[in-house]
Amino acid sequence: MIANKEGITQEELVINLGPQHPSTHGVFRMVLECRGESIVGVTPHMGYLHRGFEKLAERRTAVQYQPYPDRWDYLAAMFDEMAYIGAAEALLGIEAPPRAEWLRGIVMELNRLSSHLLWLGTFLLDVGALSPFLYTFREREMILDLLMELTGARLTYSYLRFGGLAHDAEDIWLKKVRAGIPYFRSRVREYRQLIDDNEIFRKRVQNIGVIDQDTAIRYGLTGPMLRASGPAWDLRRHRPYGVYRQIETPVVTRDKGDTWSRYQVRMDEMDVSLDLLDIFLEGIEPGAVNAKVPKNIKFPEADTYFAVEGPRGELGVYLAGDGTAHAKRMKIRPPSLFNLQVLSQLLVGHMVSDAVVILGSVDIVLGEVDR
Amino acid sequence: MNNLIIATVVGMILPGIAAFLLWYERRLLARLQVRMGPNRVGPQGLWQSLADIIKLLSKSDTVPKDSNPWLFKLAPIMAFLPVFMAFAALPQLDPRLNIGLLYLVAILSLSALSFLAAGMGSHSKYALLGGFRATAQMVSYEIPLSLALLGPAMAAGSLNLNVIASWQQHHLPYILTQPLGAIGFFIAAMAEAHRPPFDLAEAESELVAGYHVEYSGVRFALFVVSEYAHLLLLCWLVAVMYLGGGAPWLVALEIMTMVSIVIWLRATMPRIRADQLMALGWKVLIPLTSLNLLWTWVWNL
Repeated sequence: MIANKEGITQEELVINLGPQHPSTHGVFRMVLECRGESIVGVTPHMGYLHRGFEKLAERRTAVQYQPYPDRWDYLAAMFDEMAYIGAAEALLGIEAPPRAEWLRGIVMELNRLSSHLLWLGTFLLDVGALSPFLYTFREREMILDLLMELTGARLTYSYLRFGGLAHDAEDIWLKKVRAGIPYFRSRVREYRQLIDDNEIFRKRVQNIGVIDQDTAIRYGLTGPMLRASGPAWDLRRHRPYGVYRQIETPVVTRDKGDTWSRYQVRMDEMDVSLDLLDIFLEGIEPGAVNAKVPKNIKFPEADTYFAVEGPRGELGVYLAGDGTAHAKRMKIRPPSLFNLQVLSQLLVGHMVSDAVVILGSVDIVLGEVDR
Repeated sequence: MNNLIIATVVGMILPGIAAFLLWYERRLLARLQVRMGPNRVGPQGLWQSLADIIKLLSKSDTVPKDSNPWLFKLAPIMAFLPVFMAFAALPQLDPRLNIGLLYLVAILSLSALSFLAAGMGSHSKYALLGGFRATAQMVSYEIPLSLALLGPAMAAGSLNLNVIASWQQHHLPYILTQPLGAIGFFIAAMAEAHRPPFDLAEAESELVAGYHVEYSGVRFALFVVSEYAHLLLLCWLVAVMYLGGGAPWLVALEIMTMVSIVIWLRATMPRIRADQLMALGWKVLIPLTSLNLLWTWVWNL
């Protein structure tokens, strides 16, 4: 507020959240214009983590580029690998053998679980509860231990390869995953008992940041953000790929479109992932995990778009080749970037505390937003 | 002369107890959150708070460039003093103070100023918002707090805390005869001391640290010590006013029980929003505590 001679003029209080702010989940920055505590304007800034991954695909050979997708969305690296490898396989006309597809399904659902667990912890941290964060990290650590045993890395796995996998999973590992499922199921139930009926939590998230079905579709939202607003759209079910072609994935939806619905959708999705893991572990059969792949991989002169249902939504890769080992052009469709577009519309009219909660419910990963 | 010595001794011991509470909270909270907590400095990490205070005392004394130095430097002292002055009214320290309750309520409301001073003086928007929130919160919760305290005073017929405490030794403790007031007081006290879930003035997920975001070193230590002293004072008040006091070890036990409950709530509850906090204070707590006052009147008719 600035006082002048005639009297008092009022102006909005500009608050800068980020890029170094505890609630921005990385290096996202939003500039809030507030009147008191209510938000009247939002300017989001992104790009602090831009690393030029799309351009890099034109300067690296297909094989050299393999470890890069892990770094797009470092919390769900298996999905990025699947999107890139899947697009490349579609372009090259390679089919992975059945065992590889089953294993891809297992590691992806495990990764979805770990991603959702991390989201749950940080989301509750945004709402102001510290404890669930530590509980979910305990469980997430177990999943990461499993993935580390299989692939050798906690986050950046490089496990998927053209036409298959880096190596087969041992039976003892599959047994460990099978043994872990009832434990995770009981833990998810425990979280819901702890969090669901908390009066303060309900009041903080219900009817906050409502996206109606129309807006959700117009903004191109995907994943839990879209499904919380009503439309039952899940690529695993409606545009299936790999192992999902053989099963019918249940689609979780809610119709209110508020933060509470998004929370519920993600919580239910964890249960769905555990069910899917059960099915995958049932269905997996011995066999080779690598198809016959040409020694020198050259992308043909064609283009393709391949999308997987990541934990945040439709993660797509558009890949065009020109007959060389490099991609002619690669474009990533990162779900969190598209989901983030609706943010400035959501925040106006809410309070500063709600801004943090709504941003948390979008579930962004800046590595993927900025690429 | 005698009083002066007692005051000096108490003034030395209270920060020690506050430091102990800090350690106790960190340990208990860690147990509730499946981690270890401080366990390296001394037995069970008991000297951790001491080490932290020594570290804070030895840090360089910084004042932000564009801040208002007067307000900025005064605020921690203004937060620290009223809380420590309020201890003088407690029956275990001075059983004869006849206006004890009045003095307590008057002195405690002073600390609201310090948060405003810290928020305004820091020249930081996070601190400003935190200061506004803290002040609004303290001013609103002063009323249910005082209304709840009036119940026991009315029933015992005295403002002297010692009389109120000893009255309960012959009758039922007030938590049984005035449960509404006890609950109302407990909630209002947690809001007064900025304990989670009412810690929105220092909400780390939104305002980074709220009104003390710019503070470091000694001044930050003063804020922290006064916060824990505040917690101790209010739990002590619950013990005296509602649980009936009693022998010193019993009072200590009651205080630790209350502190443990407060920490337990911190581990379980998400943070409340500013407008919901106001709604709770004005629309729920004030009617409840007023009802308690009416009930006390009927009970003692």
